[in-house]
Amino acid sequence: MDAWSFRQWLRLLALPLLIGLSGTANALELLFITHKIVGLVSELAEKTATGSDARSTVLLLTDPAINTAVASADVVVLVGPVAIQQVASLPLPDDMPVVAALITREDSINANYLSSALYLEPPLMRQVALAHEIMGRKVPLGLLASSPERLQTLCCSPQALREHGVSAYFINDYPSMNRALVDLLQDNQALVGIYDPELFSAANIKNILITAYRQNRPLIGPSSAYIRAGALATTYSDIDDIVRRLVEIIQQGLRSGHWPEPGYNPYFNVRYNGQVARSLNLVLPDEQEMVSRLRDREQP
Amino acid sequence: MAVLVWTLMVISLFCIADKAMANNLEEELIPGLAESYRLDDEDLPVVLTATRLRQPRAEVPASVTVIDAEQIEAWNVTTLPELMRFVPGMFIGHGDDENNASLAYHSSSPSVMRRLQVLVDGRSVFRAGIASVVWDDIPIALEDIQRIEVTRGPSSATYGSNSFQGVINIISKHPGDTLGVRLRYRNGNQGEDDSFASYSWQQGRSANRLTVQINASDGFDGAGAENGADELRDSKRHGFINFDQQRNFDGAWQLHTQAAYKSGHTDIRKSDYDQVAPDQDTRQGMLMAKLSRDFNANHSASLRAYWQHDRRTQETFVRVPTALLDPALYDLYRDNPQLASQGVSVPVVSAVASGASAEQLEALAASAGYALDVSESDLAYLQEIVANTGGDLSNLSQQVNGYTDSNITDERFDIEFQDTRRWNRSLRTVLGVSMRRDQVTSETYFGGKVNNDTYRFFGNLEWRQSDRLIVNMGGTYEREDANKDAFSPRVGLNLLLAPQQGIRLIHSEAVRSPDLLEQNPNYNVIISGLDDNYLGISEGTFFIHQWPESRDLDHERIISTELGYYGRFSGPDIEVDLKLFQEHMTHLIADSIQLRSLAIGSDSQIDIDGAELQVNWRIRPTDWIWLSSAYINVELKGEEGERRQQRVDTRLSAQDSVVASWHHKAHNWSLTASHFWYDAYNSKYSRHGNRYRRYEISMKVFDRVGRFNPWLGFHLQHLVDDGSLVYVNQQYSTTNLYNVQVGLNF
Repeated sequence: MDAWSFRQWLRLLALPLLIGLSGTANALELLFITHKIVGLVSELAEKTATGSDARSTVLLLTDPAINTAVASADVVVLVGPVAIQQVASLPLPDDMPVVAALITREDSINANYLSSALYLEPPLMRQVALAHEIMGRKVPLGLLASSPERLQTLCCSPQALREHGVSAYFINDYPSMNRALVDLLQDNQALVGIYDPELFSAANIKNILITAYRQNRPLIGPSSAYIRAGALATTYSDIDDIVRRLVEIIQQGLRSGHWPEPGYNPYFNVRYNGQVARSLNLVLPDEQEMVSRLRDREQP
Repeated sequence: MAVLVWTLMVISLFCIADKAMANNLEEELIPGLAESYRLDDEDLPVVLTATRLRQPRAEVPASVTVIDAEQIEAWNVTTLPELMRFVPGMFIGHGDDENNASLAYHSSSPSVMRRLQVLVDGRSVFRAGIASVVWDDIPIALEDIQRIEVTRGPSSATYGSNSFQGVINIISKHPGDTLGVRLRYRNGNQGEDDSFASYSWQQGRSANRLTVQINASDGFDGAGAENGADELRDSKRHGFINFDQQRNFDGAWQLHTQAAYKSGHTDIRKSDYDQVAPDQDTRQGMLMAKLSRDFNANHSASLRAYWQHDRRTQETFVRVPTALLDPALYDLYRDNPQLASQGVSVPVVSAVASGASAEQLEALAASAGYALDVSESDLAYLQEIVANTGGDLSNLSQQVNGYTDSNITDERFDIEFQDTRRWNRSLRTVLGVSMRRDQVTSETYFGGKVNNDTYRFFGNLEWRQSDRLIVNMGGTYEREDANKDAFSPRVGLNLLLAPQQGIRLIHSEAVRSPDLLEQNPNYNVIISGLDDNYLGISEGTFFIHQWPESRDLDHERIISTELGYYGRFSGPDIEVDLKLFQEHMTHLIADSIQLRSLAIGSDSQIDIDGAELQVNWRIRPTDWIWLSSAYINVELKGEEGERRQQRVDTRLSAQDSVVASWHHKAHNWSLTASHFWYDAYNSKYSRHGNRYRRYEISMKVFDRVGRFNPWLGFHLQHLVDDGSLVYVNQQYSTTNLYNVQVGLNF
């Protein structure tokens, strides 16, 4: 018996039990649907259920038991971009609240059916604020993007960035990415990374980081995954932050019937690469202090 | 003024230090969210690895001044050595006979720069045959320099011999950082005429750059020149082309190759016998390749090899007394230099002609007031000199014309392997081995070709005893054909007060190898194409000469102890480096290296102590201030005669110096103003020392039109004290030196 069919058997056995339990206790049922069950997803489901005083089930998109599970769920949480893309294959009732998590802003753009969504990536303006806190409030910052259209998709307009002291450099305007990068690094004190896995791919990141470092210019962001590679600092939301916000979204939606707009996570942490900071001779404030400074900036 | 600056700085230092101590940042990385859903940490390479990252300044076991491309552009000076004025404790002079800028860190000869190592991307441009660095012959444009790291203090432990008082490490820009075309033309009132063109491009996984530069200058105007006149013959014109390629391969391999060809003409002033100026024509070529690999985040290694060739042609016509080319006088000089110098004087020759004995010659000298030893073989040489005149002593005053040269070709092959490894969080090592062959060909200086092979083993161990204390132990062991073996150690303790603040205590020792001419000369001035003369020769050798095995010089040695402080603060954004030092230099070769300097000893001594301060303050993103200051107290040791020789090594140095620079960059213009102030300059010669002050203003206007970036620049140097710095003829006939530049980047 291979691993897959073993899991299938387990689920088939568990399902009647699950239905029975839900019937008896009449508790809130959260159904997490994903394309790949990893520890992170299970943790997200468990902690969200605990935080919302609910029960959670995690099922694969392809799970045959999904129809039954949907029927008994109060809220469906789509986890990850694949779940959003393949949602058409799911028998979701029109009145079923559907929330998405561990997706990006871009992933959610055409998913109009979502009641709410929590973006995975940090908001760019938070990264900009972090860069200003580290480098100085009036320091010119540069942002690299493929094109104005792509920038708009991922975040905002160049004008909006300029108001925050950030100049956007578009690769499409140059013969090569490096030409754009060289111009950017010449005129700005730091590079703020936008969450664009295509641009900041494993293939490109080496070139971007080494080029910036040669000129003593740090990369801020785009996400915590880049810290180990050599980015100086980033804001990020860890699993507890995601759970905290997800619980808020679910509770607010169910309670009021008004689901919060898809958005960024207001709860976050700051992560530094201490070695890079020391090598660039930068003095960084304590992470928690930085978090509270950034929170203060975000408070209306 | 220096005292005032120092007091203010020390007070502000303590105020800032107090504040920054509170900002003790958490060093440990917080394990963030493994965004395994989208892009895992593991998918991304660790790019800025432990071995690739530069050491934090607070942890460096040395005093280092870093001049970045940003400063080079802001100061807008025309030559490399002029950048060194901004380094605390560094002074610039100009050779009298060499027409070459010379640098001294604390103290050194103003004519020949031989106690500082200069590296360009790891390649030593320090000449082996006649120890010196010829700045005009370095084929790199200021526009192509990424940064210059000046290690202030003995660095043989890292860079090998000749890194005596310090190292100037020039690092060129990566071609990938200069993509496109850069053009620049400069013209100024001292004959400045300088063109620069560079093109960088990417091709697959390689970035390439081709740079061409031609520059000329009229140099100084002379002691008596006024109103813009130029009466000193010290012009120069140099040009080079260089190619730089950085190429990445699979498996974290990287290959950096460089090639350059350079040609130049340098005016040299005439000496006593010269009929025409013995100008230098130079041709240089170099090839270098460096293969490096990051094995993992904690281990990297590199192999670098280079070849460089330097041909200097210096020819002149001379007019000398025929008698000075007499082979008998040449032989007598080797036997009895003192007698030979008197050998063709009329009283001596007349006495020999009339049959005087050796004793009678000694008596004759004694009656003239000087002691002379005359052996029987000496007398025989003198009799041969008289016989060669054919009995007509009036021949001794005959003058003859001829042609002579002091051509020299230096060639160097160097290969070096270096391994950098981080064993664990607290231990890092750098180990390496290198082999170098220096090959010098010169009939004049060496009677042909001479070689010197050098083998080096070097290593440094960095041990983080705790988060607060870092211990560095390093050393270089050198084995050399021409000199004795030498070991240069360095021990450094860095005590971190905060991540960006530290106190360092460093003990380092270094050596300078006597060069081939100092140690093993075969120096003969051969004059050929002679007119008719009473000796009947068409080619003769000037009687004063130097021969092999005439010397047994020890390495020059320096022992330095320094106590330093480095601090970087964020509010205000300020960087402070303070150094208190004591240098003890022994076995110094103080005698000037001239044809006549037969007896040269490596036995003199200089002690120097003092303090240096460097402050970099970024007031706003658009403004920065650079301040460097030094107090240097040089003490000459030994007898009065020795001290007189050593004084030349202090001519360049000022007891107190302050250099301040302010830069402002606006949207489409920038302005940099610098002030140089040296006091008690050359104090061992003049009673109270001289004062030298000057201002520099550099302005730039730039714009962007589509993909074109045109710019216009202006540079003014105003001399407050218009006297000469070192030699009296090194003066300008105006107090304002200026140039304009026009450039286009696209």
